[in-house]
Amino acid sequence: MSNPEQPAAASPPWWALLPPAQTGVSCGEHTHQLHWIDGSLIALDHPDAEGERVLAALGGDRCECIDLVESWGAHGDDLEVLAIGPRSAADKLTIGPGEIEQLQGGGMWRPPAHGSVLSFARLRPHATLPARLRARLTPHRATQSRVSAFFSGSHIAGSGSAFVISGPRTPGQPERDAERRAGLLSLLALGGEFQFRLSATVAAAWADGGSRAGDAATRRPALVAALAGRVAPAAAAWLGTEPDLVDVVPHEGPDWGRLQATGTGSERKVSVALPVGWLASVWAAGLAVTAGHLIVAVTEAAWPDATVLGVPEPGADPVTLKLRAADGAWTRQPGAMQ
Amino acid sequence: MTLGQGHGPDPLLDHVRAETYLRLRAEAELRRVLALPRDDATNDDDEAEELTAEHGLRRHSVVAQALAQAGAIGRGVADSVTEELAAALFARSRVGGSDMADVLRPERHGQPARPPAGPYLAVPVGITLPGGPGSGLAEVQLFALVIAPDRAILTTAGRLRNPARKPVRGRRSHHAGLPFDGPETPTGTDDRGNSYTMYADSSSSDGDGNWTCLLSLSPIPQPGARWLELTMSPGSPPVRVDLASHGAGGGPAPGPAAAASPAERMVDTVAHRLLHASLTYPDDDVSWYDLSEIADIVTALDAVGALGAARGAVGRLVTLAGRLRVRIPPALSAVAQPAGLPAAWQNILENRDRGDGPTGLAPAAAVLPELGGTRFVLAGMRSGAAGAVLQALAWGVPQPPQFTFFTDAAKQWSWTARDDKGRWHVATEGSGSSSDRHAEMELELAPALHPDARSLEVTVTGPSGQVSATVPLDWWSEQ
Repeated sequence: MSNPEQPAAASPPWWALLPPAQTGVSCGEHTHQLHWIDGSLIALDHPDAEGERVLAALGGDRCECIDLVESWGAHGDDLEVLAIGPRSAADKLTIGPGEIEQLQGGGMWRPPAHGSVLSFARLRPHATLPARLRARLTPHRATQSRVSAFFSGSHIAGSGSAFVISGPRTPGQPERDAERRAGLLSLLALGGEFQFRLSATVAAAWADGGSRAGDAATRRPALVAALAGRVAPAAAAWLGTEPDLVDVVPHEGPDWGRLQATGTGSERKVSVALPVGWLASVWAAGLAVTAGHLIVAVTEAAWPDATVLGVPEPGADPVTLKLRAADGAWTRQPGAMQ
Repeated sequence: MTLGQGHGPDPLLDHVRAETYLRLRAEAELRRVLALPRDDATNDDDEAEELTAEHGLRRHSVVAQALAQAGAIGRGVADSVTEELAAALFARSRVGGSDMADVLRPERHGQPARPPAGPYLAVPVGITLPGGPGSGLAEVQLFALVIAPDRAILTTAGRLRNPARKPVRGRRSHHAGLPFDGPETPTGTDDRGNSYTMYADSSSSDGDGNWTCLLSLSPIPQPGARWLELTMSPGSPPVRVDLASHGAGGGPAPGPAAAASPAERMVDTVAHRLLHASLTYPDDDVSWYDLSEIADIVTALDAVGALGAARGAVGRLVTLAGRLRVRIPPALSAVAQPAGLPAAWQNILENRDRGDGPTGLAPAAAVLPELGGTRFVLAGMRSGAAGAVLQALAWGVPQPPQFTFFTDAAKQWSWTARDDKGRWHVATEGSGSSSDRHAEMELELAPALHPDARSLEVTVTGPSGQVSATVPLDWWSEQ
């Protein structure tokens, strides 16, 4: 899969400080390997992934590896990734295959099955789908109404009265939304390394130069929350204040952004403006606060080495730092320019 | 994008600001939960000072839906932000799979069917009959016959001959022992020679031998039928129901009156609930009543500039809570000064200890005008010394938003009533059932009706306004 998010020419690509990652997934009877490198996810055991996708679209067997790679692509600009995914390295998502099975076992959810079909339709909009395929595209309609029960407000009064709701399935956008969200949970179940890489992919799509940059204004609330959910805890820990006292807005412009603080101690209020791309290039690489600085930009990158701009304290100009990744942590290297 | 029900987008509100507020609130809520020890985040302990993750999620959903109701954000945005928070908590094992499964279940987004077009008729019956030999009933009370375009329902109640030990409830019930499940079901005929059968659409018993049932007539009587004769058990004398004198007439019913602002309605709904609780709890002690939920809503509405005229309602709530010795969250006191109580509330408080209500049954049949896509029909009342229960049928009732089943502020409807002797009442929805097309509910009225009351004006207020109907109180006694 090619990488859609090319950075500005002067900047390192957003994935430059994210080393390759690999994980095993259950695929049919086998355990196969998914490999992430340079912003792309690859199914190592399926060298002709494109061909398999087409075959699947035509009614052939599907496999988990190809489904996950497709889903990765489909969620590459999905801001819900940033709403659900990790906020920091300490924020460990516990979701795994067991939780996914739990949802499936409950009969509430089935894994995405239409991705290839929809891809096929996009590729060949005037093609006639085979009947078997058309059948698979037909929305499922339950014949029995759903019934669930809850207690009405009068439970407070101890009357123990019950309330019953029933209604038919209504396929359409809500069903697709639910399916999309379930697919996203499957991707997050791939583990922490992949969670950060998927988050970075999404952030890059909405950053300057990204495929969705032109739509960023329409999704500003989600982008504000995505930034705030990651900048605020980092900045608060750095300055010894509370995350709720950190105001974060997306920065637009050629410079790195803005950082101001007022007050002292735990009452200290902080105002931060950083570009959305910060999430992809800095935060996802685990650089948010490094060597006592709030890292605001990456200027050179050749993993495990990085040259970054870091703010030593609110109100100060950023300084250049040289860093190196070792044993999962970034450490300052000699030669930094102040 | 669908905005607040019944109101649509409010051009005076900044939707981006409101959505940003809600999303940042979700971030703060996630941080709050993640800062809790894992046991505290998931333990459902009513005494805990901190909300559990599940309670926090529900609270967030309530705030989201309140912003949607106020027109500050779209309903879709409210749902999405809540669902994303649910997914984030699930992915961290802070809420269970059932909550997440609810989020992933797409059919919950289904909109209720609108009430079918056509005439709605509510005809008083008002008679108690002995139960038939095979009915399992000692007696059966027939309240009212409701004929709508898509269903015809006879509201009934009674006493079981052999009460079950446990309460049971059924929809087209197959519970052994409930009346009208066997082969000898009630029947009917009309003046045109048409025959009808009746079956239990839903029924329940409370374990003390009290039984209620909605009997469905099939087929639906056609307009123009002048009367029906209902035979409740083989060999029993038929009961004639006069349809002609209760047909549509007297000119069109008044349509909905304009509602207060959504924010004001939400706050007043909580006040009504508090008022009702104060009337129905032992010793009038409602000091336990929790206003933190409406405080969160008020905080959110204020933050996004959508509180507006609802400050007056907050002031009323603060005054009421003070009168009832309920703890007032600072967030409420901060936005409004205590305000005078409406005369109706004053009247209710003055009559709170009355135990002089008439004991009896009344058909209490009336059709309320359609209100924002929902139609209510009143069809029977049981009154006692301390209060009354009014049976209502409904069409087009929306399902409660996700995670808001338990919340007072998210209630769609607020019910009040005034009897012809000037006594005001407030009602809450008690037990009932609902599908995507129909709902049935018991409205629990308090305080007691005036002993000499002969009619009752019932008003329901919803997102798009309020409508009223007056029902005569033609009492008949149980045998």
